Amino acid sequence: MNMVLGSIGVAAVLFALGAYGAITHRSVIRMLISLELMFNAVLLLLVVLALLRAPLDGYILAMTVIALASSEIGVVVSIVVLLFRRLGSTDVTQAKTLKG
Amino acid sequence: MYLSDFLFWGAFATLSITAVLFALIAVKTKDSVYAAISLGFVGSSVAGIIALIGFGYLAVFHLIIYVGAAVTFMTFSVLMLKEKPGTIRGIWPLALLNSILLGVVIFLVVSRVPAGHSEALPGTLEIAEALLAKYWFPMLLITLSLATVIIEGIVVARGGER
Repeated sequence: MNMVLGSIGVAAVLFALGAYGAITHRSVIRMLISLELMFNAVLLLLVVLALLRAPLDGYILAMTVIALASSEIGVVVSIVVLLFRRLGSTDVTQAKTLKG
Repeated sequence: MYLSDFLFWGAFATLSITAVLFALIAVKTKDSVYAAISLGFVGSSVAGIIALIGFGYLAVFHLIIYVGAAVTFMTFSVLMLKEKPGTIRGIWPLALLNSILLGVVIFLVVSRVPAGHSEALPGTLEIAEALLAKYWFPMLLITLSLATVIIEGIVVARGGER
């Protein structure tokens, strides 16, 4: 049980750090890195909850989540590279093309 | 348990501290390349914790797919960008308060989830059978999403040839 509490504590700290980074940074890449910190925290929570409730279902769900997060990184990094080619910067405050 | 209790808890404490320290570096460093590399170390530490919890196969999957492919892809993409680091001024007290509250709420909520009638941890054969028989759709989703990463990599690489 101590390991469960410890893991939840680590996940909570990782999530908090990720949230702090996502709010304070202006660069899309830094925001993505912060969001990925939050993803790691949520994955850890998912594994802990799977251990407590349903290990096999949690296993499959966690594998799906990891694969989807990996493809999400691919998509977002591609968008960032295209944004950088167009604007010369990854600053979100300069990306106003989609603004209505 | 193959490890003695001392080694087990030592490894758990080391991995936990490493994860938090590298997360701190990822958020606070001014260089995005170091931030991306730190994210890789956070992913590795989380994979270690997952392995210690008992989900070894999932830890290897996390290490190979997430750290080995996705974070490495992000690191090399960041190397191509010459970006100026910047933060939104004056927002840090609000962000700090928000993140502390989020962390505390997550800890309090998740730590109160009661343990159910948990089954034994599944073996590799059991996972493979479940993936191919019961959970074929998530398996298809995993395959397609990983193929997407390859296509995205090709798109980024071809874009640089113009």
